Amino acid sequence: MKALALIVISAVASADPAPSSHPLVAILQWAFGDDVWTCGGSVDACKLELHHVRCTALHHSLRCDADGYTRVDGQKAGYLIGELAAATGVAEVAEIACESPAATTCAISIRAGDATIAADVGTGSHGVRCDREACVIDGNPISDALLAAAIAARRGIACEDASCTVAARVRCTTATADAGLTTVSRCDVR
Amino acid sequence: MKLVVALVLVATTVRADRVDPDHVPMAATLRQAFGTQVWRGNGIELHDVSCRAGGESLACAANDHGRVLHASGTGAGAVIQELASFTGGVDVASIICQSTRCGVEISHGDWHLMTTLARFEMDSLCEHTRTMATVPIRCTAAGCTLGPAPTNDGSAGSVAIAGNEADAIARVLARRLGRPCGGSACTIDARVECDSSGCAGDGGLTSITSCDVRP
Repeated sequence: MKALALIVISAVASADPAPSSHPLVAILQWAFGDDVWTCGGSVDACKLELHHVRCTALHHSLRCDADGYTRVDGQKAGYLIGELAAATGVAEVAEIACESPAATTCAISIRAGDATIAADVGTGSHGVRCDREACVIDGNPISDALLAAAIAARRGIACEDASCTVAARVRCTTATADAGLTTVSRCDVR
Repeated sequence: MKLVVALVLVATTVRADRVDPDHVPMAATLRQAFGTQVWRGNGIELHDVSCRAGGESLACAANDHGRVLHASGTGAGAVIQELASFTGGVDVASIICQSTRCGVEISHGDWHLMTTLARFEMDSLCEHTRTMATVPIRCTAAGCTLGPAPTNDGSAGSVAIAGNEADAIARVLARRLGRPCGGSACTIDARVECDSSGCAGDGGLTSITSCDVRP
């Protein structure tokens, strides 16, 4: 019994992400290493967030970069390109965010903020007006500072003072990959 | 009635001999990328298969009996993944699939060199064949001399080839070394090592052949 308790305590304390059965996560973990996970004390609190994931292939030179510092070369890059291509049709995405290695789901944003915008605005074409803290979508108010920041960023506006307002016409499409475990979002913000 | 039974039997036999290309990993990937028409009869023959990936652009091209085929997006990504896992790169000289087996030639002339150097090669597990050492090849107007190098009968010997066989191998070497070569004026020296493995990671259905040609 004592041994079992020790094992449980040890597992929680180390909070290492387990090898994932999620196809995209498995390849990201294999390609970039376990460092892709940030764990806050327990396995269930692990998050994977990669920004500006960009892969290139030319002759025998294959590589992928993410967050400006992580990189992977050769065969692993080939697999990652194949995986990204299968999910999105491209080899460069703005964000990949996954929840926990235990029951993993991932959201891919083709351009920055797509997953956040699509989650709040939905698919199709919508009129969005935001101030610094909240937005109005087709006349319906929604309080989400992340959406407001994402819309502002896509319009290229810093939106730092309280009087800031940003208006945009937003059109999002979403698709799923990895048997529904990965959601891919793409939004036009004009 | 007998005729009907015979026809059914023949049809069944023919159908049984047919290979489903979607059950051949490399063939399935190529069909998905370049279109189902690349599978002709019972195989695929593509040359100059070349892929590029950069950001939002994923593209592959291949020569199918003189016609250049293009692939993009998901299909190109799958070809890149397959080639990268098998060869470490995304450009190969040829891919030929016959029935359930596929072969990949990394650079032009690899298959030809591999066959020509058979006497200097050893076999091991996993259909892995390779030259035992670097084989010097000298071609002149009179023909080519392969070796001296260790041979598969345990000796160290040379092989002389002449005529069309010598012309063909001289052309391969010249192309690989970027040297002009033609007719009786062709004299060329090269050092060659070849390697062909049938264990490419898809259950041994795809073999990869590569020869290193140096001056």
